[in-house]
Amino acid sequence: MSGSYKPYIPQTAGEIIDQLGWMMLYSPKFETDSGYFPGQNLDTTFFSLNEGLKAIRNRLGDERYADLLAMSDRMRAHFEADPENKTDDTLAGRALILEMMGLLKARRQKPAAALNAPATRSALLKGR
Amino acid sequence: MMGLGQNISSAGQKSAARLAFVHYLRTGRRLPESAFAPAAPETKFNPYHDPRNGQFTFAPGGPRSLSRIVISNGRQAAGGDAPSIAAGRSNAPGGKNPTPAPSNADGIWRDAQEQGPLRLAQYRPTPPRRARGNIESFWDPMTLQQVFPGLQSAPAGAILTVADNLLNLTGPADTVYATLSEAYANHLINQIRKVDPKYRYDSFSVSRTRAGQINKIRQLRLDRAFTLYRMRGDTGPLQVETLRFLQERVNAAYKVGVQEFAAGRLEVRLSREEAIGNFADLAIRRETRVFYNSNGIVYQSDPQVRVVGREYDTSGTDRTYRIPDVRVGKIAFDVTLTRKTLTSKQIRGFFNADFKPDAVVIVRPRQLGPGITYTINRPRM
Repeated sequence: MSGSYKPYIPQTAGEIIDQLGWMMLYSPKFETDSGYFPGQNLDTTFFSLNEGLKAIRNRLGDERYADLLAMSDRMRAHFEADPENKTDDTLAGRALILEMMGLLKARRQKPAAALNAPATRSALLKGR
Repeated sequence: MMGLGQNISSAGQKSAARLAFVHYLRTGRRLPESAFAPAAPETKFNPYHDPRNGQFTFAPGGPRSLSRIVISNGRQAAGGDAPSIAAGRSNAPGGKNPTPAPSNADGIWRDAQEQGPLRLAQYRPTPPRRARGNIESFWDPMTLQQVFPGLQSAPAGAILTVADNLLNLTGPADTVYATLSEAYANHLINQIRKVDPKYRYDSFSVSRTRAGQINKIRQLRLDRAFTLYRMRGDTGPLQVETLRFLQERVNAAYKVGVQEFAAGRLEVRLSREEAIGNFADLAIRRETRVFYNSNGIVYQSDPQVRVVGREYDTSGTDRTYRIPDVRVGKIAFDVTLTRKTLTSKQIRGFFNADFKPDAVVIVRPRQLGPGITYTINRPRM
């Protein structure tokens, strides 16, 4: 059964945005004191993020995928440089999180469909 | 030594048949008419007599006599843990237990056929333990009805608050800390093996720290819930574990969010609550997916467990949908900072969805105050 961390791979742009939102809260170490996620750390977090980007590569397009992957690598470098959250590296990493979220949200922007779905991500968050 | 007939015949010249009928009216018992014939013999049986001379003896009838009378339990089933005053006499040296001869040397009549030890007359065997008590439901709830007391009988649309400390893992862990902890873990393992005989808990050693034991119990509860769901399709325990999980994670996310906001590290568009809530919302969704993923649930395609999935309402002319944070069976979970009730369009939308939830559970951070997590029962529509 469970008990050790099993890699989680986001499968959609929305799931990657959720992943980035989680990274915003738990950077730079990406460790929680919860017993629900033993073994979770910086390596597993970026593995999930990069594999998630790979999973939606076709929908992103090669150029956008390459940009996002490069941003992910830079972000990781920032967080690794400031594991105790004492310098500006963590802030720089978080700025990259917001930038990636913006890129993904722009990718997901669609005209309001026949369904009564809210049009934007923020509206989704507020009005679900 | 007067018969019934003698007693009653003195009251008048009534026939035996009439006396029998009167007796029936008074007592509800039918006796043959012969019992009311004059000089009918005594029919009462008194078991308390000395078989040697036929004289009546004392019978257990009051506290005074009970404290002195000793009876033999030899004709009853052997075994038991009753205090035996004859144990010293019956256990001969060498481990032999000779058959006692009929005797009343100590003033107590013992039949040679009675092999059992003598027991105090006031002894009452311990009643057999009930197969399953109710107390377990208070500290180990398996259904939402146990988490929200009164949910089953609540009127439609009622709001019920979660029972105090029910989701607290440290409470039961403290209680069972040390000796009972392992016993409880074994109890959980046995429960799981009844459902899945192949189940094995991957543990290399006994947890000695409190944190380790808490984690072990938590993991076993999760395994039990997921096993019951996979093997039997029972969503009840999984709903409880999902609620436990969401409550812990929303507390943690809110705590971190407040810290990050205070440090000026969160992007603020509208307000503090909006900034904290947005990131907490995203984080909890991600963690919920990890939670199910690590326990083998494919939430994208599972028919009963969904994370941030569209729940359609096809009852009207236009198909609409709502997106609960989590859905397990016929329970929708919504993680939020604000208090929501049936007046909320979103909550009504959940109830209108095709999966027809029995209840919507609102999960909010504990830091916001008492009674923050509650369930909204399905309204009559």
